[in-house]
Amino acid sequence: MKKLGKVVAVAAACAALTGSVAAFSACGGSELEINITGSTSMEEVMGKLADAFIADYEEANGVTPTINITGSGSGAGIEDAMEGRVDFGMSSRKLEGEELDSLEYTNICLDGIALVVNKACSVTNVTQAEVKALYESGTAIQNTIIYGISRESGSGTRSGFEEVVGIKNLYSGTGFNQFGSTGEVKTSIGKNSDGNTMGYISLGSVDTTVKVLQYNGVDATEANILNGTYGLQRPFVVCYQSEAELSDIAKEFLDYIMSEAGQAILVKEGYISEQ
Amino acid sequence: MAKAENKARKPIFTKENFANAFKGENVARGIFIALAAFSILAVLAIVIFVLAESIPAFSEIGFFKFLFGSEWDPDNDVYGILPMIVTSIVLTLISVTVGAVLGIFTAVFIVYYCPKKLKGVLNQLVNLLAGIPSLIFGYFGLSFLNGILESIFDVGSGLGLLLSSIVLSIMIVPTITSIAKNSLENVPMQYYEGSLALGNTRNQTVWKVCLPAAKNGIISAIILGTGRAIGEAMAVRFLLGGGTNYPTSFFLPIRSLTSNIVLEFSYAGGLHKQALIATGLILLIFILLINVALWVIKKNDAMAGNRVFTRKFREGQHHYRVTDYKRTGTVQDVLWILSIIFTIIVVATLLTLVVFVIVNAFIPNEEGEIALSLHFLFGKTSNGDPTLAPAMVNTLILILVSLVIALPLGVGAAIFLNEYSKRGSKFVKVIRLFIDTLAGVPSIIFGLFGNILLCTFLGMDYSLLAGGITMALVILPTVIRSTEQSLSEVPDSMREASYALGAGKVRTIFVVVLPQAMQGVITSIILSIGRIVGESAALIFTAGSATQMPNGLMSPGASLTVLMYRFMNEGRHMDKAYATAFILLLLVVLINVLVVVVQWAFERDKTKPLGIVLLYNKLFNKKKLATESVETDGGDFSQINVSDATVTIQTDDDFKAVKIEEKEEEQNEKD
Repeated sequence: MKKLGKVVAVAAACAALTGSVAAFSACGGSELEINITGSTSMEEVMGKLADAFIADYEEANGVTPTINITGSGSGAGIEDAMEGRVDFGMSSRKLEGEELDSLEYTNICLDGIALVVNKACSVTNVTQAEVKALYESGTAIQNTIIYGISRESGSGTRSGFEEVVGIKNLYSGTGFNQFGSTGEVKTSIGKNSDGNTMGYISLGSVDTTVKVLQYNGVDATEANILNGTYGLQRPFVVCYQSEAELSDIAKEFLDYIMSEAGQAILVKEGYISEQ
Repeated sequence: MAKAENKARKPIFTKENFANAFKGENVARGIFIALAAFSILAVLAIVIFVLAESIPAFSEIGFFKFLFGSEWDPDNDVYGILPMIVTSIVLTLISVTVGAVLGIFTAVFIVYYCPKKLKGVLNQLVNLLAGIPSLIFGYFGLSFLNGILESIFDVGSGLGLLLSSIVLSIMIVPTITSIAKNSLENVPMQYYEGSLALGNTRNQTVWKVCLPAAKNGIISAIILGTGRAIGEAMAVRFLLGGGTNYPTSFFLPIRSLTSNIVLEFSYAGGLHKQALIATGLILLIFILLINVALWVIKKNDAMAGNRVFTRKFREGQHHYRVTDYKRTGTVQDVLWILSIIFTIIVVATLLTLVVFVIVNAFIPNEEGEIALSLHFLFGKTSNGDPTLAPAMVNTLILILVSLVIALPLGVGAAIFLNEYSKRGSKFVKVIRLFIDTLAGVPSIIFGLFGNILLCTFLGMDYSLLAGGITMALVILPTVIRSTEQSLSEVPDSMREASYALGAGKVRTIFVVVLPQAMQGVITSIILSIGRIVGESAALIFTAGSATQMPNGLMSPGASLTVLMYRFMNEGRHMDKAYATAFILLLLVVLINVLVVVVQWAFERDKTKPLGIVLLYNKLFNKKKLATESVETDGGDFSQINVSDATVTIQTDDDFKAVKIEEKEEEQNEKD
């Protein structure tokens, strides 16, 4: 009997193992799943939009959709969208070249690029020439800021920044590290108690841990971005292979973002609505 | 005439042979051969796919321009990886030097100088260090060591060569220590005793006789440590700084071959992506060269033979005498003291790491909440407030899928290698070579392979299934090696007795041999679970990093370590990253405890009752067990107390009856 018990136990374990795997595979991809990857600058606000949309959808239809948002960089989001791996790609820069051929897109809002330093830093205003000199050759700004940190080459924020300031080749010395996301830059600046490092992040991501500098004497505010005097700005783009091929739930989500409710959330988080 | 007939070969494709092929035994043999050959297939597949995707890159960029180009600038289509190669080589050299010194001295201390009571503790600490995920080392270096370096050297940023070398050396110490320890313990006792008999002091014996005798094993340990160092991706991704310079100073931002892939793969497309895969190919070539070196060393290992007739240096077989510790003023005494110091350094580093992770998990964030809460562990997840619950489900699914795939393959391959193969046949040698190669491949290459073959080519996208299949390949060598080890420890007499009783080979394997080897299989399962929980590089590119509950096997999902990587990458939820690190550490400790428990459960003396049962009886029942003294009252019947019952044997001549009563209440009343 003991041996029979052992055999039964082993058989039951195997059955449970394979059964659970089979059960998981049986409930295949849900119709109500949206996969979104892309810009780390957009990740947080997309998360808030997703949560609000899910709440509304649940109330209206009783079913809970799943929205997966991963911040892997604007380049990654565009790449995933082009390969058809995700429903939406988030990009914090304009699409260019080949990307425009294979993708359709919607600009959901405008965002500024804020130049940030630690609150202990005494500098308040930087000019374009000073920033360019720092990032291209390591020249100190006003003898206070000696390091300029940057983003990885796939970053939409970095593309926007380098395009506006006119940076051709990034200086790569000690302290001029490259980080993989807006959050990492913010954390690094927040820890820089010497006040000698500058970075650039999405304006909407700015919080009390960092100080924003004036750029060419202009404050980074909504009004200045809308009227164009604050030059460091770029659109938030949601791109996809084609509107016709979007699933129903994905289309509804996109409509929600462009609706009043969605735009209100964007404005509340510090982004600029073009509507 | 007869000789010529004998020499004529029997034809292969006869009806008889064909019928024989489908006999049970031969079918089973065929299945096992196929399972074993799968590991060859896996390694070949990896090499072929990586090669296939790199060839376009080589032809467009130019092989030598790629290998020896000094500039890496994907935006302008310039791809030269020489800075990355130099960084990888320099980083590996420094970390292996430091790690080997620390590791070997620690191993010598544990084997020869350690007090008996401390040995178990030290062994467990080394195992714990081995099981900690590499991402946690990266986080430790980033949050703790970075600040220390910045203040000591007064630089703007401590990221770079020095920080990464320090962290990498700590990471490879357990690998080197455990293998060196093994080979030191396998040095025959005669060496040690003989040296002492000739008048050497203990220190001289250890450092001048025993250590050189274990040379082969120690060199293999160093080579395996080198393989681990050069293949490390996740820890160095955060610690090297991300620039594309040559490593001319300790604090310049640089990239290794591995961190280059991790940083850029997610957004690379077209030629850029192929260039990154080509980088992976170069890495694979380095690893293969290291494996060849290992194979050459192992071939010359004289110590591996003759296990039966030499006594090994086991614990407790040497006696401590005062004269052992007499200072002789020789170099060896200094080495002895150094070994103590280095062991203390290793233990102190581990304890700092553990304390750091624990303390940080309980620090409240800016809003004053502690991230480590029941809600964070099991609560409902949302995009604005991710919790660990989906990650736990994802990890569980990944474990299930990989075990379902890897266990049959691994156990089958081990059975073939041990039971069916002829010793020294070429096929077996090839399979072993491929399994060892598979064991040495860095996990980032598995990630690339899974991404190219499963996600893109087979169209699985980022899914748990792709992640599970990739992890099955990662854990396959562990399962095969561990099972083979335990199968080889089953004595041949068992098998021979089974054959003598008429059982066939398959029945013998499954009924006699495999149950005895169960301990090895279960240990390999537990170690594989630990590996899957701690794996990040392979899973990021195959299973994705989604934080929501999965809808099935084809959904993307982040496992616990991938989720921690995501928190660290985003930089927003650092308190959640710390909390996740704490949970991961708990899991590693739990897994190590499980391994010890399994070991104890299989090796305990099963004739004695468990200590817990004895304790329970002592506290609650006050009954005597069968092994304790037997009470016999005199008279017409004998009464023997056996556990909860009393057996009454009536010894009348008329009839003998056995009355068994439950004397529970009476017994309690008596007390």
